[in-house]
Amino acid sequence: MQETNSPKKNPVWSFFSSVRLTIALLIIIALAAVIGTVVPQQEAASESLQKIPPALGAIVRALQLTDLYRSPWFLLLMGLLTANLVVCSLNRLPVSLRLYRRRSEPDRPGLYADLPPERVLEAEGSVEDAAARMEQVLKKSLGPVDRRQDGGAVWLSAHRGAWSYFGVYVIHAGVLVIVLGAVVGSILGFEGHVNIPEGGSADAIELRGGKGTMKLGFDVRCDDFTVEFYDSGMPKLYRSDLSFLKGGEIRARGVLMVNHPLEFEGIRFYQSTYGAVPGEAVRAIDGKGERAVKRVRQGERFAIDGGKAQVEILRIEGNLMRMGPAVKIGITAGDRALAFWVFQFIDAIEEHNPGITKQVPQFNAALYKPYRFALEGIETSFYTGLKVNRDPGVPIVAAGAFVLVAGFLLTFFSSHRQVFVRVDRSHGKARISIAGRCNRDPVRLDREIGRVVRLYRGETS
Amino acid sequence: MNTKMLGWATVIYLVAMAFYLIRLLRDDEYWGKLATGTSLFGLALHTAGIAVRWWESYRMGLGHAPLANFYESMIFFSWAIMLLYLITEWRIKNRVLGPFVTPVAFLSMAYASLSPDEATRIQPLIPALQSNWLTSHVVTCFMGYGAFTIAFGLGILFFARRFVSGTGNPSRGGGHFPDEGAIEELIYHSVIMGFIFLSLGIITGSVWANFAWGSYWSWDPKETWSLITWLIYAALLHARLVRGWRGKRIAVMAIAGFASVLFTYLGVNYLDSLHSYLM
Repeated sequence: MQETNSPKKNPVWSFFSSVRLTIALLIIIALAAVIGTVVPQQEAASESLQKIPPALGAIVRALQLTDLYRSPWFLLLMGLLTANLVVCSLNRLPVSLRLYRRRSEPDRPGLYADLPPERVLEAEGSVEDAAARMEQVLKKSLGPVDRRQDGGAVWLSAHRGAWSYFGVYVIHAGVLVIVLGAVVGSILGFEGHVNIPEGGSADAIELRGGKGTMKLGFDVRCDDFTVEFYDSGMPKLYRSDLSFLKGGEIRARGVLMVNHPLEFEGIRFYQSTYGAVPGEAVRAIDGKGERAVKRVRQGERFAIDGGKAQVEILRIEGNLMRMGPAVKIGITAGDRALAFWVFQFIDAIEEHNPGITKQVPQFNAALYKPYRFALEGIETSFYTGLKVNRDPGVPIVAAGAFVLVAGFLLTFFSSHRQVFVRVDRSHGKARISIAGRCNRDPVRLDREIGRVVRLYRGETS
Repeated sequence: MNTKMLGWATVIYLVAMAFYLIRLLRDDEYWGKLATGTSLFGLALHTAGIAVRWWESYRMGLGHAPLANFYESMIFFSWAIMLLYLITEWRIKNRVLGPFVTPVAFLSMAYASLSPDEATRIQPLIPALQSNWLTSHVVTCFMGYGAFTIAFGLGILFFARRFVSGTGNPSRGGGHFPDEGAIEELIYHSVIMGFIFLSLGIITGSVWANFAWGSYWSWDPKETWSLITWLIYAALLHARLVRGWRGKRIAVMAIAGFASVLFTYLGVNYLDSLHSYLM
């Protein structure tokens, strides 16, 4: 189809009104998107950037390939496509309006030349009678009939589906609404993440892309976290029981599962990940004649040796260097300072590595004489990882998707069918010639004309 | 039970493929009728196999449509191809497309049957898949893939026809090839069908992702590749409808688009994706 001549002839307008530009942009955006699926994005990127040559890394950084889908140049491409879509649609709209309004003349010469024999009927009686009957048939199968008379002949025409010229604009409107929803979401919405230990609560979230933290304006408490597995070892259920508190008062409670988000004050929570918190509590034994069992937490301090030494729990690890649970202890006695690891399975470790506690003093739990520390075990608890967001663009995007699908149906399953009939006299009989045209879907037009013929002959269709 | 039925359907598709090929080479419609009958029987058995698998999952107390892992997706892919192919054959009243499409359906089934035993067993759903959107998302996506496979087969047919008529004897062994315009028109119709289904697949996927992952679009490789595929076919439609591209260029784009479909389906598994349960 020809590009239409717009009254606005400025170069910017004609640049954006080109469908060649559309096709080029579609392909360029597709290629750019491919790059984004090959180059690791965002969080995954920093590690891989260290492995590649620095020159290549500089290029990757300069082109922002590790956050490609949010990079200005990718957004610019999207913006160009949107502008292109708007200008092309506006440019073509008058053409479609003209097509919508224009009716082909039923008495145009040539329309009835070369008709197949089944489209030319003959009838006894007058031209008037045959035309009146045909008018009824056309009205029944297509709608309002346009009639004109000239000399001894009658011309009839009827049409259906003229609005199918606008289907493509509906599709484009749908795309624009989706784009609008995405823009609204990116400006007014936010997206973040928070980990909450069982029994703990959070009042702020970590925003995506290292944009700092954000106060929620309320507290989220994780009352319970459950993970269940099938016998095969596949996960069966992740479930967080959450309470939402304001001013220490529970305002809402809910069960959060994958595929079942919770919403509180317009903010949605999604079950995203979970993990084990190593050692909220551990046990340590010390000794000097007496044996003592003590539960400790990370950062906890206590005195031993009659107050002569201060012990601090520096670190608690669930699995240190693949040698099992361990606790790092720091001891300060006067101006002397010591630090060493206490392993739970120290006997097994010594068996595999004889003399290790002599060679590596840091692994010697009896470094502060005459005490000997031991670890009975670490009690792990879970934390639940929640994705948190608010996206006011979602209803807009959903509406756009609806419009898009409606546009597809309009564009691909409807067509403008016009049927023209000429009734004149030939060899002493009324002769009825039926012709048709359509903008697409000629098969459907043929069926429609076949129906008109059958109806005229009085056959039930 | 169901895997046996599906195994037999695979063999029957191989036989149907051979019949279609013999028909093409000997230009004898007797073989064509045999091929169609065999395909219909294969599709009936295939459908029954899927139904039995579904029913068995309910009997096991798991109760989900057989669309939950890679094995099941390949079975359904093949089903969609055969269904859409037989509809196309019936509509165009011509069996010439058979040898170009049935191999894809057969290969998908055959590749599925190579899966290790535990993959072919009916498995319970992991939390991410426990959603009502699973069925509508997978069905729409794979109907789209199926329609694009038909368009691909037609694209190959387009060039096969050129090759045959190029060797100077279009009347011999032609198997009554439709003319280029008709093939291209069919490509266009198949692409429209695929494009609508793919759009619905992306939309249902977005709705699901909005519930499961907390975002209707997160540029996950699978999402991105489905968009790439969508863009390629959008370019094809614009090129044809507005720029008036016809014939060879459209056939080339249909083939290129199918490569993108295959990457969306299979290639993405080699990238780090949230869709990894399809591996």
